[in-house]
Amino acid sequence: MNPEVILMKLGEVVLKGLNRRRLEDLLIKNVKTALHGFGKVHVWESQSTIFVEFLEEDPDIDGAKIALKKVFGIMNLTVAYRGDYDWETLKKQTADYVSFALRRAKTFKVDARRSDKKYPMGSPEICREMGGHLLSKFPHLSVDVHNPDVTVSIEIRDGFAYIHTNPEKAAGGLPAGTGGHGMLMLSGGIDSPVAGYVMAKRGLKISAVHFESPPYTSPRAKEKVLTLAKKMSVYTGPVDLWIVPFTEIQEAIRDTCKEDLFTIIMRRVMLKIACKLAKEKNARCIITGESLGQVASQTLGAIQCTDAASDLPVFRPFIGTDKQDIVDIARDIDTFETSILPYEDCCTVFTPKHPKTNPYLDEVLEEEAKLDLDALTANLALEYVKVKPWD
Amino acid sequence: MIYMDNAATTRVLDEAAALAQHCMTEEYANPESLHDFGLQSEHRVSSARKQLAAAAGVTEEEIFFAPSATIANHTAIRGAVANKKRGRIITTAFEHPAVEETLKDLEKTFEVVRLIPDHGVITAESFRDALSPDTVLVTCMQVNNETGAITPLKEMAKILKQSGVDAPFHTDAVQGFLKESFRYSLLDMATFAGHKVHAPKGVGALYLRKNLRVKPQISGGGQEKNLFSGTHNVPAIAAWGEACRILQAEKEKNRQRIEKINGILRDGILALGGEINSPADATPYVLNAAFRGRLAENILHYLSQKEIYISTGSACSAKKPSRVMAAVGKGDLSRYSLRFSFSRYNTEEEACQVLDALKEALNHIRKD
Repeated sequence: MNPEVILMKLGEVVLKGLNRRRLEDLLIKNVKTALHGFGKVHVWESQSTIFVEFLEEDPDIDGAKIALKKVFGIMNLTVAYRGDYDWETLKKQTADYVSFALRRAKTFKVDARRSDKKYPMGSPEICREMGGHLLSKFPHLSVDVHNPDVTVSIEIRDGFAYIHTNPEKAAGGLPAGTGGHGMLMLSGGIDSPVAGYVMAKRGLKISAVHFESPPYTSPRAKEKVLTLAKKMSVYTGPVDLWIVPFTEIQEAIRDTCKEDLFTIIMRRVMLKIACKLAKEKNARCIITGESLGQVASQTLGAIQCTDAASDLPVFRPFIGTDKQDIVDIARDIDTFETSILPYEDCCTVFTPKHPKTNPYLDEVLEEEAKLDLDALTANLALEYVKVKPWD
Repeated sequence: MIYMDNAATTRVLDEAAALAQHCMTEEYANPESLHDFGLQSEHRVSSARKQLAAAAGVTEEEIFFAPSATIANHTAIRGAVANKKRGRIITTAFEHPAVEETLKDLEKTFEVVRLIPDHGVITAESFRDALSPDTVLVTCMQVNNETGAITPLKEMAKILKQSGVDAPFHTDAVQGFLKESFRYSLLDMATFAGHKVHAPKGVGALYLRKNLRVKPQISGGGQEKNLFSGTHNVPAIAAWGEACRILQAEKEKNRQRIEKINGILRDGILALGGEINSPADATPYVLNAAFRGRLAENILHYLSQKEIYISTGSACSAKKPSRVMAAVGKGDLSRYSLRFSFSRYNTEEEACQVLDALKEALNHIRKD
């Protein structure tokens, strides 16, 4: 048995009422998914804490910790040593296990929690006795109960004394998949995978749709989107991705509609296709990475015109966010370097030289009516890919 | 023929050779080409990268293909200290020339501290003593190519981490990769070679921990995120990926058999009056032994006539006296030392045949 386990404290989930059980079950499932590749594990929940025990020899606990920091719904986590109930043994185990942290600290305190009320010592007594023992072992330390460098925690529960130091901040949010299902419009740029990430953090299950326009877009542009979806799926969980062949529609818009409205009409058609697909797959919202004023198709006028094409709510988590702030998250979640690979995506194919930045819905609808959209979108052969973080 | 010189190089696996052939005659496009044919080659490279990463316990983005392990070592070492003006580099006294010669050159600027093996093995304690706040790089081989001695990298990495010294930890893992169980993510850099593990010659790889900056030492087309410019050797890379997949699956089985082979030779050599130079806890893949008074070169040539191929030491420097033997305190045995190194293709029967041949050789060859 590995004496080290990972303890994770639940975040917002604990505030939920009747739904809590369902949320916790999903969170445990997500934790198990995140630990794919770390050997056999035992995961369970007890009193707002999720425990991970490693059943194989020499587990990669540091790697597992990094993976678990990407699971939404967990507030903080720590690696703990599973010590004995026997007080003398526990004293020795604690001094050994926390020696690395204490040697570099100046101040500390001991925090004890006794969930097992049959344990012969009370929490204050455990704090006092263990604090005294650690002071005698590490005489350079002093006790600071308000602002210690290191808090040594002892949790007495379920037959073990769990010893650990300062927990680390985890991803927070709500477990992905507990808040419904959304369809992300994934372009290959910087913003859209990050939009998927932040909405998953609020509990959405993320599916994605991508539009490709061969030969104007290359197979590598598609590869890039698959890589982005994979990187995003590390946080969101496995992603269902549909790829829409869009060349014919784009060519029809180019040949039929006014050039300066090309992008707006194209965006509207994309949104219509995404809505139709979303409804087929039981997704109840659309997610985009749009940010107000970033490009011509993201001005208020343009967004009003595209929004009108959707009969589902469109979530734009970055509508009021600066590019640099989105880039910062993209770097954090490791999608940035992939996003900036120089392959053209379908949004930049046939871009007009002077797109209309303040279009009106009437003129857009009038232009769009020239297209036979039903015929163009009737028999689209969508390609489906299940994207998993570990593939 | 009996081939027991696998630390020098190995036979390419049939499956790997077939894939290399396929990549030379069917899917031969440049993986950098934009067309679909190029993309196929790129997929070959990325799938090999995945296999290597899985076997090394790192992520695929941390694996960089190089034209050889020597070039990977060179880039890792020089690239890691490129922006430093002074400081200490800690290494072992028995590195492969790919590392040792590079360090010799860097000695003009840096203080190079070479850990001396104790009874043939580097100890974590000696590393703790050598570690100083101005240390800028640690580069210690995982498995010694002449004796099979294993360096306690895990303990050393822990010591480095606990010390708070901000120096990257590199290992030349050429003789350990796919043989010893080790998670390279515990370190910052590691060098691997294809031809030591049943892939073709002409391909190496560097594991570089994410976000660790190493200055490229070659300029060119920017391949491998600019670290190793030059057209990918796709046939060798793809073959290596395939070899990795197969070796990873049969790792335990191979190890058990090789332990038996090693044991048979070890016991047999002792019974013939020889001495074992490999430490007791060395990798089973390498066995270094000596018959005092009988020149190793004579034995080697005698066995060679019988189509039994072994080595007198590191094949890369077989003509020079062994630095390694001197470092492990057996410099006097240097001239008499033989190296047997094994692979999945060796059998217990072969070990017995080698012992018979050794016995004959000892009868023929006079003491010097």
